[in-house]
Formats: sequence, structure tokens, C-alpha cells
Amino acid sequence: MPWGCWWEPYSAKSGDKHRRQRPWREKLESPLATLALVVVYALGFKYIGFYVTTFVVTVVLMLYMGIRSMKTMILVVVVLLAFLYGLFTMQLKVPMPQGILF
Amino acid sequence: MQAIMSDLLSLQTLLALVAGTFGGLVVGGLPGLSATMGMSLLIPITYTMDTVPSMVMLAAVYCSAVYGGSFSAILIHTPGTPASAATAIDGYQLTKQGKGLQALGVSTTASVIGGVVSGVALLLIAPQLVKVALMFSAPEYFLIAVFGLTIVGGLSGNNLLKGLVSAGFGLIIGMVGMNIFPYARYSFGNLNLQGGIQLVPAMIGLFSLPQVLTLAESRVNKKNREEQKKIQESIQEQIARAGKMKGHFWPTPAELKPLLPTILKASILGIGVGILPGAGGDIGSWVGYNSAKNGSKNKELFGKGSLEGIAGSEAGNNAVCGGALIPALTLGIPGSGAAAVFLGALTVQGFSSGTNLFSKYADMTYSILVGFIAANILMGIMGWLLSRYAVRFAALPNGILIPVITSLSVIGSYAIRNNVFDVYVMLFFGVIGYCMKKFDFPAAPTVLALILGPMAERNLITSIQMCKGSILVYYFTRPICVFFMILIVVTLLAPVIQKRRREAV
Amino acid sequence: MKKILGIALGAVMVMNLTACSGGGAGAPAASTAAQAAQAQSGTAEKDGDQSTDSGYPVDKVTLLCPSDAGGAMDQNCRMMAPYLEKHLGVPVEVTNMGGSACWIGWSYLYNEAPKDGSCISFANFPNMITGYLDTANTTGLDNTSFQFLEMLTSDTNIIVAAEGEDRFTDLESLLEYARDNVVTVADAGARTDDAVCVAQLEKASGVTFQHVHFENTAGGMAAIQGRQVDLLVCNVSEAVEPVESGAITGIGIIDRERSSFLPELQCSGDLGYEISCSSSRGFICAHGMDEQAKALVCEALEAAMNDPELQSAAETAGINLAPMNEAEFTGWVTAQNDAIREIFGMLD
Repeated sequence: MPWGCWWEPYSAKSGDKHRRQRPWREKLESPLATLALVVVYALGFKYIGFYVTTFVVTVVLMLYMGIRSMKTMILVVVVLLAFLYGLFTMQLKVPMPQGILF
Repeated sequence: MQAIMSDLLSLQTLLALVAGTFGGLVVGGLPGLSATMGMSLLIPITYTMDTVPSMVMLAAVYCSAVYGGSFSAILIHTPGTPASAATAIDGYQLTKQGKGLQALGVSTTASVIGGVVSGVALLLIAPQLVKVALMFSAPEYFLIAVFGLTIVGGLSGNNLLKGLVSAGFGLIIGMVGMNIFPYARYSFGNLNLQGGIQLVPAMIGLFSLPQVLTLAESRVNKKNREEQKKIQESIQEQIARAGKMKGHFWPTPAELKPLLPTILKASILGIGVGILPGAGGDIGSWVGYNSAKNGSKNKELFGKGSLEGIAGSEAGNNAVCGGALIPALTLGIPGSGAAAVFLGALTVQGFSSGTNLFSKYADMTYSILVGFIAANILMGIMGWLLSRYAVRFAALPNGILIPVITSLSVIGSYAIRNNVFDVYVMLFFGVIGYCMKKFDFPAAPTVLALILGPMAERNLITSIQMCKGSILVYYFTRPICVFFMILIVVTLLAPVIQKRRREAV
Repeated sequence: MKKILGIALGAVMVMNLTACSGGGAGAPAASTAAQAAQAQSGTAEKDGDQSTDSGYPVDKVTLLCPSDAGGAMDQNCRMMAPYLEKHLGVPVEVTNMGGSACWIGWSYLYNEAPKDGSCISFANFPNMITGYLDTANTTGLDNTSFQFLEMLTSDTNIIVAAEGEDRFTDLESLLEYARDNVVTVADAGARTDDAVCVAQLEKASGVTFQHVHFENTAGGMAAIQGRQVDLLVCNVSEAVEPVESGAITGIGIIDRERSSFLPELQCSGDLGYEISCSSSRGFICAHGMDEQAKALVCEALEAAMNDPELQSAAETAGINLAPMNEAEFTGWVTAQNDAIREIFGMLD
């Protein structure tokens, strides 16, 4: 049952770190922007209303990731919102926090 | 026999079976919704139904939800239920390699076999197994939890130190709340923290949010129209390609043969875990995964896309379903949270567990058990039919996946307890999970420690309360405890001894 | 970047317009606001003209179950909901809000839920009392923050031992034995009705037991049947079947009178102790809820408790109905509050 040699804390791979010099800034820009959107979503849906926030965030995220086709965007938004509404509000009757909008 | 078949083949029962299986797949496949939640929401419906159809429906939801969690675990790296966390590790790697359909096939086969084996055990040897289960109490649970934590080493891949740090982080998080009365540790006066960090939002945060952010990394900064056009075309291509997923679903006999011993071993262990009250599907999947890794000849594949790993964890978690029903039906002691809901529904119907179920109401009970086995087989068929569409979903362009996963994660975390705080927990763990990913800290040990840490602490304290005198004497006079202690020592020392032996040669 | 922001802003503005005119949860608020504006009252949105045929001031009642779906409390709520709806005349919907031993739900009931009669809740005792007496509880709530509408069920505590236990056979011999020997007693948690029962018995008899806390009764039941502990304290409804089938031995009931379910077991009243311990659950509302609504709800609850359909459903499910109207329930809670305050230090 070899679990790795647990009493030797440094593995062979740690030497690799110096070789993996990443262009940090560029690589982090999109995840951080996405994270910002997700934070706004998670913090805001309580105040603004879940479905409206979902709609806005979905559209923004799709645009951000490069989707331009109107057809795709409308399809995704409609299917996603209908699914979430049908399952969570109608079927499971989950009480959404009362925000200003829907 | 005839009464059982007529009960089972009635229209109401069959409808309940199909509806329950499908509903369970959906509930399990969505991150945030678990088997327990799905079952409890169905209980009011069972008030008006006959006993056999309603219990068959609940049992179907239970096993298919546990199986359904593997879909999202494999396809979008987000475990649909805590029981699928181990599947997510290897499953998603396989999806990235284009073998998503195959991974689903192995997961389905393993789940069905695990569920059927546990159903057969439930049918045939339930009373005998129960006697074994009663020999386990707090001291044994403590040692099982400690033993489980030694698996962390195996989950850390190449960097053990980072795995230990992840596990340590999980242990600290597990200490938040009122595990031990009357101290609400790390609650900072917040009522929500007093109840502890819930496992499911933390898990969703650790797996799905880093996934979303990693997908976002692939966004290309458009510099000019030429590049823009190229991106548009590639996205259109992707969408078109998504409709033509290749690969085969069911494992070929050649592929299945080496997996069978793993599956059977994991199933038996899963039944064992299920019988123990307080150990549910989440622990069953880790035990199964670990046993697969132990017995594997391709250990280096684990963590990078090992079919054996998926087989082990899925067989383990589905075997827990039948196993958990064993003490529930015989003693009224549920083997898992979902089994407790099952028992509750049975009570509402007017039946209490115990010998009556297997003597006076034997026909009804056996109908339900056969229905359980049928549900396991049905869920495999449904999974197969749905897999083609599910896999296409995973091949969609990132721009579509990102908002879908994000919204499911947010609403999934909220819907568990109708508490916005759980969404904040998910967010917190999402950020931490992404940082962990960037610095190569594995997330699996954190989840494992979050499950096992509180279990170990609670049971240690209870065992101290139980012993009348010296705690050490207490542990050493219990044969099962001694067995586990030896097992833990051997597990920890084996690599040392092996290495020494190799060096000496 | 500008384009994206522009589109997003446009989308938000469009959404604003659609939300104003209709759609889902926005609509009732908008229409009742319009009606209330027409009426002279000018109080809360759902007040005034928006009364239904039954005379109830709001058009929907949320029954807030403070524990997660699937548990015993949730089942009680869902069993009661249709009958309450029948007798109250407005739809009753059960919502779960579990966490922190029910305090998240109760805290929401008091602090955030509207007090116009649209939200009532369910409570279990003595869990609520041990909860607010606990110094770790930071909600600032106690029994004066709530009003107690109707008790639903009461399940007396019972002490059981393993099958074939020969060191003691009933309560009297148990107390005798425990005076000189260490006896482990399993319960479902340090703040549950089981633990309170043990503490009260200890105080009344002067005997001390070794408390062993499990996470729930299932753990304790497994422990007693596996002979890992000497005794288990649980509730009569949980113990009836195993005692009758012989899986465990009944020792005694902690009540002034013997139980009708297990009449051959001694009760603490037989030994002269004036203690009565049970796990009880009932309906509550926040202090300050609209008086008219409260009166109607109490009336409906009492009517529902006398409804023969509810009674038969409860009997099938093994739930012991123990109706207590508002006045009796409130008095009972106050008495429990005093009794538990005295023994609170003995819960460890």
C-alpha cells in the first residue's frame, strides 16, 4: 500500500517550479473578471431577485467569453431560466429571497 | 412469490418506480440537491399512495440520485452529491481526454452492480449483517475515521506535503461550530457559523467554482477582427461538434473483466459502510476509491483518469444504499441520512421496522426490496439513454458552460437549507479552491477531512464518555478497535518498510 | 468592454420595465400596493382591503419548519399543513429553514418574517429552552420573544436497557444499583429532551449517571442493542416496538403517570418523584404578531387538532397527539422554563 514516502516532505516535482514561469498577469485577468461577476451574482441575487440577476450575469458572461450569436444567447438564456424556474420554484417550491425585482 | 410479483407489477408501483428513478437522476445530477432532499420532498406525496409504490419510489430516488451525482462529477467536475466527490477526481480527467462517454459507462456499470449486490444482501442476509453492525460503536467509528484520513496520502498525487496541508485546512473548517457542547468554536458570534460549515456548499465551492474560473482562463483577448472571426468560427464548430460525441458507452467485456474484482470489492466495503449508522454514501465512495487504488496495478493513473477509480467509488457509494437500509428495516436504526427519511416515510404509512416487517408483512417488504433491485437496473438503462445528451452538454463552448455551472452552483447552494449564507460559504470555498488549484494543492483531501474530522472528534469524545475507567484499556479490550489500530499502523508503516527493503537490496 | 457594459445596462433597464408591469413575485406586491393605496389604512402592503373570505388578513400562510426536510419535525408540519389550511381557509405552505438547532429558523421568524400573520413556525421542547439558556446562544431571544399557539404532540421519555439485562429490572432497582456503580446512560445529545430527563432524574433522586452523548437516537439505539452502554433514554414512540419485540428491555417512564402504551413499566411518579419529561412540539409565532390573525390561527389549530382525519393520520404514523390550547401551552412553557433553568448546570 504505497502512499508515497510520507516522511519525506519534498517530492521530486518541486524542482519544476522554477521552470514554470507563467505570465501571471495575463493569465489571471479573465478568471478574476469572471470571479468578480460571480461575486456580484452571489452577493446581489438576494437584493435584486434571483432570476433577473441570473439573466444579467448569464448574458454578461456569455458576451465576455466571446459568444456573439444572438440565436445561441437567446436559446441558452431561455432554456436555463425556464429550467431553473420550473425545477426550483415550481416543482421544489424553494422560496427565493425577496429582492426588488423578480 | 405470487403476491410479491403482483404487488410489484401493479401500475402504480411501476409508475412510481420509473418516476422515482428519473427524478432521482435529475436530483442527483444537479449540484446542491441530494438524495435526502429529494426523498423528503416526496414524502407528502406518499401520504396518498399505497405503501409498496411509495416505498419503491423513495428507494428508487435514493439509489438513482447517488448514481446521478456521477454525471455532473464526470462531465463538469462538480459532484452532484457528496457521494460523488471521489468520482469527480478521475472522472473529469477522463472527460478532458475525450473519454467522457466511457467514464459514464463504467460509472453506470459499477453503480448498477454495487446497488444490485447490496440489494441482494439486503434480501438474503440482512439479519446476520445487522449483528455485525451492532458491534461497532463510537470507539470503532473514531478509528474508522482516522483510518479514512490516512487515505489522504493516496489522494495527494505527487506532493504529499500539499495534500497534508489541504487536509489540515479541511480539519480546521470541520471544527467550526458546535460539535462539542457548549462551545461554539470559530463562530465569531454568527448564528450561521454556530451550526458549522455545511458540507455540500463547501464541496460545490471547492469543485465547481474553480472549474468555472479555469474554463474562464481559456478566454482569448481579441486584438483584431481577424482573431475575432477565428474565435467565432471555432465556437460554432464546437457547438456543431458537440452534437457528434464519439465513443462507446457500455464497457466491452475486455474492459470490464479487470474492473470486476474492483467493483465487487468496493461493493462489499460499501455494504459494510452502509450498515454502520452514521456512515453514508460520501464515506462509501472514498472507501471504494481507496480499495480500488490499493488493488490496482496502475496506481499512477489514479488522479489522472483511472477507470478503476471511478468503478471503485461508484460501486462503493451505490452499495451503501442497500447497506443503509439493512439496519433501518431490521432494527429501525437508519444507516444513513437518506435511510432515515425512508424509515420516516415507512412510519407514516403505519409500519414500524423490526421483525414484523420480515414476518407478518414479509410480502410487502420483499416487494419493496425487489423493487429496489429493479430500480438499480432501471437507473442503469436510463443513464445509458441519457448519457448521449449529457455528454454533449459537456462539449459545449465554455461561454455556455460557465454561466450554467455558476447559476446551478448558486441556486444549488441556496436550495439546500433556503439559507443565503450557504451561498457565501460556496463563494468563500470557491475562491480558496481556485487558489489551491493554482498552487497545486489537491482539493480532495479537504473534502475528505471535512467529512471525517468532525466524525473522528465526536466519536472520540463519546468513547471517552462510554469508557468506565481508562480510555486506553477500553480501546485495547475491544477486538475490532485493535484490528483497526493495527491496520492504521500497518498502513502508515508499510511504505517506510518497503522503501527500506528496496534500499537495502 | 464598453459595448458589454452598454448591453448589460440595457438589459437591466429592460428587466426593470418588465418587472414593474408583472411577472412572478412582483405582481401580488404591486397589485396589493395599489389597492392599499386606494384604501385608507396605509399600513403594511398586504393589509387592509386584501382580506379573504375567511377573514384572515393575508392570503397565504407560511409554516416555517426550522429543521431540514425529512426529519420528524418536518413530517409533523407537513402532516398538519393541509388540515390547518382546511380550517383556516387560506393556503398553508411548509418551508424548511434548518440549522443551528432550529435557531436559524426561529431567528428568522422573530427578526425578518413579517408579523402580519403570514408566517408561523414550529418548535420543539425542551430544545428551544435549552437553546436560549445556553450561553453560547447569541440570538438574544428567549421564551418571551414568541407566542405559543397550540401544542401538537408530546412524547414521554423512557429509560430502556439491553435485552436480558439482569442487574436491574425497573426504575427502583436501577436507582439502587446506580448509587454504588457507574452506569452509562446514552442520549441523543447534550441539549436534547433525553439529557434534560436524565438531569431531572438525577436531581430528584440524588443518583448520578455517566452521560454518553450520541448524535441522535439512532446512534443511541445501536449502542444499547449492541450492549455498548448500560442504558438509553429515548421517547416512548421510539421504544414501543423494540420493547414489545424483545430487542430491548423497558425500565421506566419518567412521568407522573404510567404510559398507556407500555402500562407495565414503572413510572417515576410511582417512586414519588414529581417530574415529567417529554419531547414536545407545538406551533409558535413571533411576539407582536397581528392579534386578529393570531386569534384565527389558534382557532384553526384547535379545530384541526379535533379533526378526526388528522387524528387517524396521526395514529397511523404513530404520533401521539397532545393538544394544548394557547393558554395551557404558554403556562406549560413557563413551567418548563423554570424547571430547566434549575438543572441547566447539570447538562454537560
